[in-house]
Amino acid sequence: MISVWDEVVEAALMGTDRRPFSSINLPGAAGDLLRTAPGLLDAATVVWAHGEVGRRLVPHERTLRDGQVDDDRPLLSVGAVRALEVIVGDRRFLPALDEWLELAVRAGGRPPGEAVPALLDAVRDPQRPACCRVVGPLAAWLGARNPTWQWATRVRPQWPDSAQPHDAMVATTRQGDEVAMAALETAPSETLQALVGSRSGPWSAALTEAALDALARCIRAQRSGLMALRTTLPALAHVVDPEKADEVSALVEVVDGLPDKERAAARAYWAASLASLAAMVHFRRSLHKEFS
Amino acid sequence: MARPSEPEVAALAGSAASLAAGRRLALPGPWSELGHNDRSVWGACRGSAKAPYRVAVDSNGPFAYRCECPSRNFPCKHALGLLLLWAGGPGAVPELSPPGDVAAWLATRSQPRPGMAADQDGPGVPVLALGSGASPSGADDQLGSRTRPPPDPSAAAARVQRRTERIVAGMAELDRWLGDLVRGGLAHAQGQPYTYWDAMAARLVDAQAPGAASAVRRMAGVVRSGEGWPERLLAQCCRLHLLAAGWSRLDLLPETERADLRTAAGWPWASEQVASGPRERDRWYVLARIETEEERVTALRTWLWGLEGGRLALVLDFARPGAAPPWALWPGQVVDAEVARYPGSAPLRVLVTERWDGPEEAVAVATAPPGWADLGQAAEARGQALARDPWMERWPVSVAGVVLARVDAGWEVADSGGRRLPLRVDGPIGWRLLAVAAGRSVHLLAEWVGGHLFPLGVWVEDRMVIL
Repeated sequence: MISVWDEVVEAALMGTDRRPFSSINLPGAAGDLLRTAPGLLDAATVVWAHGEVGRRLVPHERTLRDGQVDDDRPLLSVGAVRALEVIVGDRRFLPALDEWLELAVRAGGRPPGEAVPALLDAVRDPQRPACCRVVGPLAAWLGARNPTWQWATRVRPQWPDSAQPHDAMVATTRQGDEVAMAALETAPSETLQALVGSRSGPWSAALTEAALDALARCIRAQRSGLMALRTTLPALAHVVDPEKADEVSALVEVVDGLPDKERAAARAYWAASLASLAAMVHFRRSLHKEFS
Repeated sequence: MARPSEPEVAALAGSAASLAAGRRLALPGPWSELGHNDRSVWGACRGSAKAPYRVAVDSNGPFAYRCECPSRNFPCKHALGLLLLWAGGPGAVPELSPPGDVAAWLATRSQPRPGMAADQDGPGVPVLALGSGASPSGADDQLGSRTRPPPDPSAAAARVQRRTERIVAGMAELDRWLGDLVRGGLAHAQGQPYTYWDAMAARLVDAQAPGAASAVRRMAGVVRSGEGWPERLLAQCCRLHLLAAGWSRLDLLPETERADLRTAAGWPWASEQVASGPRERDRWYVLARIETEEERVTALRTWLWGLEGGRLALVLDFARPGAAPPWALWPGQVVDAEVARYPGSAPLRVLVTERWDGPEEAVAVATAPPGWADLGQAAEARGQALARDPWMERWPVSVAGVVLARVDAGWEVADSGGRRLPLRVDGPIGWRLLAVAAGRSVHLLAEWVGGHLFPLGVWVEDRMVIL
C-alpha cells in the first residue's frame, strides 16, 4: 500500500514542473489543513508533521531475539582491557598481542564485549586459538554473524602450548643461560642474533642484562655485523625481561656517547631504534603489571 | 598547507576509534584524485557507497573538513585517513591546484561571514564558557554585550528589530528556493554541485540565520546518503518550509513559538536572559554525551534525566576544536545541579546555573539509568514534544529491556513488546554494540534523529558502556 507520504515524496522527486501535483486527502484535522494547503510543499509539510508527531510504533510479529551468549567468567581488569585497546589500536604495539593473549589466558577472565570486535580484527592465524579461548563463546557467536570472523566458528579454543610445557621450556633455557652469557662476551652480535632466533621470552634478568650489555658494546664499537643486528632489535623487544625496561632506556646514552666522527645518520638511526625498543619493553612492563 | 606529522593528525581525531579507522584508510589503495596546495589537501576515497567520497581539509584557521560521507564524526575517518596518508610521506599527495568543488568550498570559507562575530576568530579567545549560550556560528549582539558597557536599551531594541527583519527576508528567500527545488524535482537537485546548496546557506548566514544555513548545508549530504534519500531530503525541505512559514507570520504567534522559531533559525540567546528565568534543581543522571564538529567549533551535547522531577535536559556547549570540553560529565554519573531552561514551547536545552556538588564530586553510580519502559513510550513522548516544537531534531532515548539484531544489511532494536526501530550505526560501532549485548536484553541509550536511533551507550552487567 502506498502511503500519502510516499505519494508526496514521489511527486517531489519528479518535480511539479514535469508532473503537476494534484491534491491529496487525509482524515481529520490534517485533512482540513491540507485543503487550505495549495502546493506540493505545503501538502508535504502537513503530511510530514502529521506523520512525525503521530508516529506510533506497531509491534512486529517476528521476535528479534536470536540466541544468548552465556559466559560466567569474570571480566578482565580495566587495565588489562585498556592495554588491549592500545595493542590493537596502534600498529607499533601490535607485536605485543601474543603476550597479551598469553597473560589473558593465564588470568582466566574474559574481555568485555565492546573490546572483542577490534581483537577479532587484529589477530593473525596462529593467534586464533588463543583468541577464541580468551573471548569465550562470544567469539563463535559473533563469527556466525559476521563473515569476516567466520573463522571463529571453526577454531577450537585451545591453547597450543599449555602453560606447563612453557614453564618447562623456561627452566631448560635457564640452564643454558651461562653458556649464552659467555658467548655474548666473545661474539656479541652473532650470539644476540642466534639467541633472539632460538629462544622465546621472557629471558631471565641475568641474560637480559648480559644481552643489553653486549648490544651496548656493539653500538659503541660500531662493529661489523651491526647491520645484521638491526633486524634483531624488534624481536629482542619481546624476549627481554620487561622488568629491565629502565636499563633498555639507558642504552640511548650509549648513542649520546658515540664520538662525533660517527655519521649523524647512523647516530639518529640508533637513537630511533633504541627509543622504539625501549617503548615496547616499557609497554610490556606495564602490561605485566596490569595482569599481576 | 604544511604537511602535518602523524601526532598532529592524531591530536585532531575526536576519538581513538575514529583515529584507528583513519589509520586503516592511510594507504594509497582506496584513494584517487589526491592533491594539495598551500592551504588545503583533498582526495577521493572509495568507501561503501558506489561513488567515492570526496574529502577536503582546509588549514586556514582551525582545521575545517568537508566530506561527502554520512558520518557524524568530525573529522571523519576519511579526513583523518587523508591527513595520515600525507603525513606518512611527502610523495603520497602531489602539489596541484584544487579541483572545482574544492576551490568553490575554499572560496566560500574565505568570505567574511557577517554572523561570525569577532569573538569566534579573534586571537586568544578562550573556550566559550560553560553554558555560555553561544551558538556555533552566531555569537550575537546580546552576547557581545558581556564585554561592552551596558547597552542602550533603545539601541538594543533597534538591533533586535534589524536582525528580525534580516531573518524574515532571508527566510522568504529560502522559501522561494525551496519552492524552486520542488518544482524542478528532488532528482534534479541530486545532480547539483555542492555550491548549489552552499550558496543558499551562505545567503542565510548573511541573513543572520546560521541554524537554517547549516540545515541547508546538511541537505547536500542528504542527497548522497544512499537509499531513502528523497524522503529524508523532503523531510528537511518540510522542516525548513515550516520554519519560513513561521517567520512570515511572526507577529501572529505567541511568545513561546516565536522563541522556537528564533532557536531554529540559529539566533542564540544571551545566557543572562536564560538565567533570569525559573530554575529547576534536581539530581541529574547523565544519560549520554556526544561530541560533534560543527562548522569550526566542537559541540558537546550532554543529555540529562532529572531523577526527582523526571524531566529531560540537554546541556549544549561549544569549544574550539582540540580544546578541552567544558563540561566533563560522563554517562552513568549523577550531578546535583540547578538549571534554567532556554525559551521555547518544549525546551530541552538548559543552562546550568549552579552545581551543588563540585566538579570532582559527580558520582559514578552503579545504578541503571532512568528511562522509558519500552520504545512505544519513548515514541509517544517524542511525538508530544514534536507537536509543540516541530523543529526539534534530536530526542534522547533511554529504554530498558531491548534486544539488538542484524536485520538484512542493517541493525534493528526491538523492545519486549516487539516494537522495532532501525539503528543507524557505522560498521565498527554496530559490531561493538552487538558484541556488548551478545543476544541479551540491554538498556539502550540513543538519540532519535529522523527515522533512526543513533546508539550512544549501553547499560549492561551493571556498567555503562559508551559506544
